[in-house]
Amino acid sequence: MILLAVWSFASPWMLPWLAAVAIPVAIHLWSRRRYQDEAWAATQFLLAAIRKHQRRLTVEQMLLLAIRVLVLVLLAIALAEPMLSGWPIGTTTTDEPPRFTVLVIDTSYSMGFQEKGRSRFEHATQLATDSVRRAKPGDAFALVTLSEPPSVVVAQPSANHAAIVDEIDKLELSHAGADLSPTLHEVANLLNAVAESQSRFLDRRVEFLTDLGRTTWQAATTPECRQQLNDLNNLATLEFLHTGSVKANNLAVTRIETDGRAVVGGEAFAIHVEIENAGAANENQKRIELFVDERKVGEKHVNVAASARAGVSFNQQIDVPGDREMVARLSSDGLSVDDSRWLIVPVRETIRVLCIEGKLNAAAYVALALNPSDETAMPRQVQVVSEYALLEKDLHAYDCVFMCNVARLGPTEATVLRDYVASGGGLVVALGDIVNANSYNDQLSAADDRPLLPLMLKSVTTGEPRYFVADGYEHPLVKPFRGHQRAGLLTVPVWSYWQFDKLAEEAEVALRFGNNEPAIVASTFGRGRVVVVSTALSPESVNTSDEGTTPWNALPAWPSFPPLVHELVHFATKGMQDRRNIIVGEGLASRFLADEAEDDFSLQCPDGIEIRPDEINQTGWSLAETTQSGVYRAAQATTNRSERFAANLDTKESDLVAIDRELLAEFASDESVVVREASENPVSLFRSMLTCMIVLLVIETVLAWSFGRAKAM
Amino acid sequence: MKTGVDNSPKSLDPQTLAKLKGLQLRARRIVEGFISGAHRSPYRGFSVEFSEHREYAPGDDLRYLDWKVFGRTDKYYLKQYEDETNLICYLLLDVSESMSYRGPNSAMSKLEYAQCIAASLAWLVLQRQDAVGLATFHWEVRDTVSPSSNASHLASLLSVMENASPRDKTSVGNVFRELSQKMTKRGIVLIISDLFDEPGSVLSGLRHLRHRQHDVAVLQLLDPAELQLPFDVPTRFRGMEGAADIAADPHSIRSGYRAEVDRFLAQIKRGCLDNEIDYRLLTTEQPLDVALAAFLTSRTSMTRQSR
Repeated sequence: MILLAVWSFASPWMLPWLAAVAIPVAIHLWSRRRYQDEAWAATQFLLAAIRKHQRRLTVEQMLLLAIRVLVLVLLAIALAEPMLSGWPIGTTTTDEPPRFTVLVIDTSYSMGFQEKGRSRFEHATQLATDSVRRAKPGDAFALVTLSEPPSVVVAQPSANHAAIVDEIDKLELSHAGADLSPTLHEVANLLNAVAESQSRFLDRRVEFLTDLGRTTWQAATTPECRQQLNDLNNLATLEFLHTGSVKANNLAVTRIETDGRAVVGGEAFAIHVEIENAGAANENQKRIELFVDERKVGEKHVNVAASARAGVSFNQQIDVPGDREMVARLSSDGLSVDDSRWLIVPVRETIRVLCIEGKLNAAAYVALALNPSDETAMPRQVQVVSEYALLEKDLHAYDCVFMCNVARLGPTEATVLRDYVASGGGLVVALGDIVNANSYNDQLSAADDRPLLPLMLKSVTTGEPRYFVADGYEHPLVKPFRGHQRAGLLTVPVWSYWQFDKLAEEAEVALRFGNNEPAIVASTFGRGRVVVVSTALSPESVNTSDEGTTPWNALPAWPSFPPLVHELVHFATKGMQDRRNIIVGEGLASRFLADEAEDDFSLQCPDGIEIRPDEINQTGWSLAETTQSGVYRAAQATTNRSERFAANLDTKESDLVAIDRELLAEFASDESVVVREASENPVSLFRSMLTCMIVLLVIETVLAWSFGRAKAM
Repeated sequence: MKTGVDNSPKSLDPQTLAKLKGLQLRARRIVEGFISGAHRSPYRGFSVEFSEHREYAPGDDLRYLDWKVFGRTDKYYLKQYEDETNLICYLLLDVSESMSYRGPNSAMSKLEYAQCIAASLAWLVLQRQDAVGLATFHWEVRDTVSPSSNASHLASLLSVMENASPRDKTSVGNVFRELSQKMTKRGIVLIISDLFDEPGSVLSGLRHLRHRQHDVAVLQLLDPAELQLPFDVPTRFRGMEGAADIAADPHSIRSGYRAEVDRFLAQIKRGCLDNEIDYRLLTTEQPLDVALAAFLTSRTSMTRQSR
């Protein structure tokens, strides 16, 4: 591999100082013209001396002049802060045929990692710009970003180099990762189009300017991507220019969340923050701060081992209901974008629960457990209605819907429930003795795309009492019971329950019976959560036999019943909070301003710029895709109502480790694929230049003294 | 002989002498400062003036045996007497253009200095009733004054010297050859010149003089600047004697120049020694009486040694 250093300058506007080299030259020339006159008799000796020493004198003078000029050149170059930034890419000579180069620039946020005063992304764009500027007239370029999703910035081969450079300058780092396969697909499309329509471009190249982060490039080892790369290699020469360094440490805030329950004003809750150390060195005493509505409320220090995660918790209590913007901030490091993580916590005055009972009093115990005094001022307001009222109620007015032993569900009811959960509502389905399995399976479990319930109802089993098993209380739903065995969760006798079938992959078994059959299953649907309780939550569900009537379980009479119902609500309603906290790239939607006038509406991005939602109508507004991490603010001026949404990074891109280059070299069996280091660290030559300059000054002084001494002797 | 004139070396340095107008005045000042009974004839012979005793050696003439000493000591000593000579001294004065050079720190040009030396020597020789002649030259013999021991002869010598305005280039070899033809009577030939000519030509001319049995002495006279090249700034050297102008940086060529000058001087000196020619390098910064004394002292010792 030919190593050709590329010079770039951090302060190129200092280069005009190079003109200062004219000063010693001018002085040299001027001094040669400035003679004093002297009549002289002994000219024969002068002539002899000059004849003998002229060459040496000329060499000495030229040497000193060259050193002086070089000193000024080095000074000017040093002031321009030269950077040794790797190899030129796409260099051509004039006698070669025109070349078509697809520049693929990685814009995943890991490219924002700062090394030696500039980011990997700046380095990559600089290299791309250098490549374009070095190209000969007639060479054409296309520009694609390696991002998620990929973006084809310049699709048609463009020989307008200034325009390409302009487009490169306009590129921005994304707040997301990169998706390799779609990017390769786009590049292949470009190359195919050029190969078919523009035959003059016999020399085709694809330049990947990337940090080769394993999060993105691990996909190169999959059969699909491998095939794509091989196909690309048949169309063009591939070059992978690694702009990152091998050793890069990074800490990221990977999680910030409450303890799983909807936050009610005046109730204490915990904020859990998780920090990941993706580097190879332990990080000790790293400061993590918590801000609520831009006011610092806590600070902790944490040790994070290499390639490990650590968590800290902050206890908070907020009395006034409303949206609260929380942000956890780490002390800044090389990649600052993942050092903060936001959380919008809607602090509620109360949690509104709608209990739908299929059998009379099927929800009575649930309602009693949630609101024992039946007062409206309680933190949880419960309304019990019969199953017939399901379609009459606006479910969006409630945080949680409890279905207690509802026998059947029609398609319309299923749709209402699906919409409700998809938009962030919580649904708890407590089964019972009148439940019709076929109806449930048909309406809720057998949707074409994704079923609302993550399971199928099989049959009711009745017999010897079964007891719950909590599996170490790992699931958030039963976690509060850990250490409270006297609450009796594991001692409740259950005689009858529904057996489940075809549990979906995403289904979580929060509680099971001793025979390993699921007792409580949780899953997510859209932005909301669904919990299915396999047994009844009221003594009204009974099993009738010759021996008499026995209830399905003793749960309503057990001390663990009220806390279990509360935890079911907490868990189910967390979706209301999740709706406000998304990952960058996901969309935003709200019914909040559905009936408001469109003109009064504003949606502000984290960078302060206002944008229009993709859709806004009487039913609400939506934004198909978020692009920045931070807080999006929706506001209605006339009503003074607002809503905030937090968009956070998918922190898998915070892993800055590059893939093993051998993985790429593996398929690069021929010479048309090159994997190169652009230079792990752009090397600043400022100090080297100054050192050379000082050395030259010393040499000049010594030489001038030496020459002068020789002449004086 | 002591005079009332201040004859300390300081008063005879070139700066002081340069303030005196007239060669005669300058020469008298030098000679008066110089002569204080120290001068003696370099020749010993049969004279009435006793010089010293010498132990008898077989073959010596018994006429000069000092019988009085023999009577007192029973040892044979011979009396020796100062020679009364009829010395002819030829002064050859270089009046070429190069002799007009006067360095930036010099009070006199080389020619002025040479005139003083020549005039002083002429005065000294005449004071001893010896004959002195003069020839001025550049590329050819310009003026000559025949030798004479007449005291009034000095005026004509000084007049020729004073009127010798420097011009033309030096061609020492030819001049010396020509003069050696003219100076038929054997004597002392004193050459005062910068000898800026080809060393081979110079030495060839000197050999001609020696060939004529002359006792030749060379006073090579240079300005200190010609030895040192003391200039600091780039200089355009205007060549004398028709030489081309040379622009140079004295800093850069000083060492080479000095080496060339040293080589030239060494060559001349070596040639003189080889031909038994008394050689002395003078610079125009030296006090004239000191220079003259040093020259005459060395002449005296050389003459004695030769005997």
